[in-house]
Amino acid sequence: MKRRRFLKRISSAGLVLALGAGSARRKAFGESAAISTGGKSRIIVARRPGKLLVDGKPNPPEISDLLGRGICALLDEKDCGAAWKKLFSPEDVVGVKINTLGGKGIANRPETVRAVCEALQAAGVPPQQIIVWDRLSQEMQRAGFEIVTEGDRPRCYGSDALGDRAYRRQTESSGSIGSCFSNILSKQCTALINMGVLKDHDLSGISIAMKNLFGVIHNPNRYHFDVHKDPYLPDLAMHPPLRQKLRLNVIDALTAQYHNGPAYKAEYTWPFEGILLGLDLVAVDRVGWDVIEARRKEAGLPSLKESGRAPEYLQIAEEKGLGFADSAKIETIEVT
Amino acid sequence: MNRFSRRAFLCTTACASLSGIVVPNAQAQRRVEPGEPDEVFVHEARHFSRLEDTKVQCLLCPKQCRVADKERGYCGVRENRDGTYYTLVYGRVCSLNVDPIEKKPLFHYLPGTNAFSVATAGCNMECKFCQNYEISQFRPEQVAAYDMNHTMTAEIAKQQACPTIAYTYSEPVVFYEYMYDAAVEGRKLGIGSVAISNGYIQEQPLRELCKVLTAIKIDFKAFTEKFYRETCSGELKPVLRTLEILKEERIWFELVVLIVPTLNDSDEENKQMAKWIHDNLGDSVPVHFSRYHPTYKIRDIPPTPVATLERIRNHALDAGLKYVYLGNLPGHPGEDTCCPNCREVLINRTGYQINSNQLVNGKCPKCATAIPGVWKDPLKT
Ligand code: SF4
Repeated sequence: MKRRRFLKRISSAGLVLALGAGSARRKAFGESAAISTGGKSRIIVARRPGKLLVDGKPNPPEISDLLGRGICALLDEKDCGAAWKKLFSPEDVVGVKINTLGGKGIANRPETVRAVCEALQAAGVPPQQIIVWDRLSQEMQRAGFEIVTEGDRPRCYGSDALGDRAYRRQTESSGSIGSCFSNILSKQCTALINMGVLKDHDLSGISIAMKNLFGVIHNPNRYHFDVHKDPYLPDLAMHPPLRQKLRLNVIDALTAQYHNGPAYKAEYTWPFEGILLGLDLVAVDRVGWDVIEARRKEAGLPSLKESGRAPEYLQIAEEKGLGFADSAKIETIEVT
Repeated sequence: MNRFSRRAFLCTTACASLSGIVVPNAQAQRRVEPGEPDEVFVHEARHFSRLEDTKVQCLLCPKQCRVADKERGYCGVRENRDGTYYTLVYGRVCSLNVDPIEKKPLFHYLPGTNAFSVATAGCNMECKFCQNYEISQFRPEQVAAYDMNHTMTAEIAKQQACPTIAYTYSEPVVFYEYMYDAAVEGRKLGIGSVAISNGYIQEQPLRELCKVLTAIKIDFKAFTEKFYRETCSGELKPVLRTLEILKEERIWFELVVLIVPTLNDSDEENKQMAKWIHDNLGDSVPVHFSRYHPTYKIRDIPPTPVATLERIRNHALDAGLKYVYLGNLPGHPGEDTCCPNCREVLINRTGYQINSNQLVNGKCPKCATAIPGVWKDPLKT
């Protein structure tokens, strides 16, 4: 398809679709800090060691099955279709924000993303209303994703595919953040799944759920200094349009990295063979942080705190009411 | 066949620049749309050091970003790839125009001539009043650009009969390698180079740059660390050091101060600034106080009152500075160059236009006072 025709088509389609947003679900989940039963945030750590990866390759049936069990456990549903329907309606345009900076080694696996897309479709979301996206199409391709802009399949492209309409031209403020937001988020999607990975990050300490959202703004490099202890990440996640659209966090942790991120460093990765799910992105980060710390300890590495890059932004996020960073306020459920 | 002749094609009609200003008969280069990746623009950076674990530290500007593999520095145009630092904007020119040199503004540098003006995306500061934020505050892949390497830049400047290439609009420090090489190429063709910069650069790259440029204009944001930190995400001290180095290097330079009401318009601050300039740089450096207009992240402060600018100008004149101008006030007498001895109007301007130039060999025709500046093309004997 010709680039200009593609640009024209996806921008107008996105606008039309975005107008018919599923507002009921936004009210139900979007504005809350995603509190689970007992006033705690529920986080699912779903793992199947030895099964999600076979000879280092993702195993789609196991991934889909585990994802289904995870979403049911998260939302207290027996039927996973019903669970997904609690969050998404057929009118929604669902953005699935993935993380592909690390290339094939430490990015979302296409198989995991496909499992999410299939679950959404099973819940009634038409494939054309699912947009798998990251900042750059080229990075997505390097991570193994095929760029899809038409047909009966979920869309898959970077913000940059929108050309000079990739980002809003006016900055929007949210606390310490002043940025232009991706039009995929602003204009095309009515709902968002935040699909990060589980990895160490040189500056923020960890890159799991909250850090993945840096990919929705045009100028993340402006906020990298001391990002582990500054309010940038919480302020970004507090941005009302983002907060209203964010319905679910699904962390693709088939492979995880405990040191020297964000780039892929094979020597510091391990097959975690898991998926983390949560409505509260702060709590997701807290649980993921603990996983990374445990692995660092096993490897004889100093903790992130000792390394001077503990993700203190989680505490700031809790103080802002975004979610829970305190483990005592998090209900972690293991699913196998 | 080199890249220039292979890719360039001559516009048969006027060729619109990316910023909308018409460059007659310019050679338009291959256009790169936002989102189109292009490795042509990726060149190994200068001025960085390698650290442990494939990290690098950029040594180009005082931010001295420590950058992990696959990440970019603060300016967004430099990227660590497996332990080597790269500029992503070598010849990725997102804005090009033929401008009067007065627009830079440089008032004591070849008045009435044109500068072939180029920019890439990116900046190492974030001024909340940035007039060019649509290129300076975006990443290279987020803005359209032309493929125009250093050789083409010099050739087109010559073709356009410009005696000068100006690196301007965004922040040339962040496209240092391209600027440096284009300046070298320009010199070979007898074309000078001027940088329009915030002066936020480390000493070594600055001293090297001074050897190939012919003039510099520094945007002197304010005279407080608070303003630099809170309004520009920068620091004052390194900029003061830059100004001292420019004086040591004996390169022609002028200063511009954009006066933003309530933020940097106090009498006290501006008196201190004028005194510092006088005591450290001398009484002959031209200083332009410019009117701010609401934009980018400061939209709720009205434009600078003319009276404020006039008051600040008077403080600078009282401090002993001889060439103090007002900017963004077309038609104001503060645009004119006057003889500091006999007050004769030597260069009469309206906006960027020269109405008359009375200078004779750089001197006042009435009292023969020498006026400092670059009045003859520095690369022509
Ligand atoms: S030039 Fe860019 S990368 Fe280098 S130190 Fe300055 S802001 Fe950082």
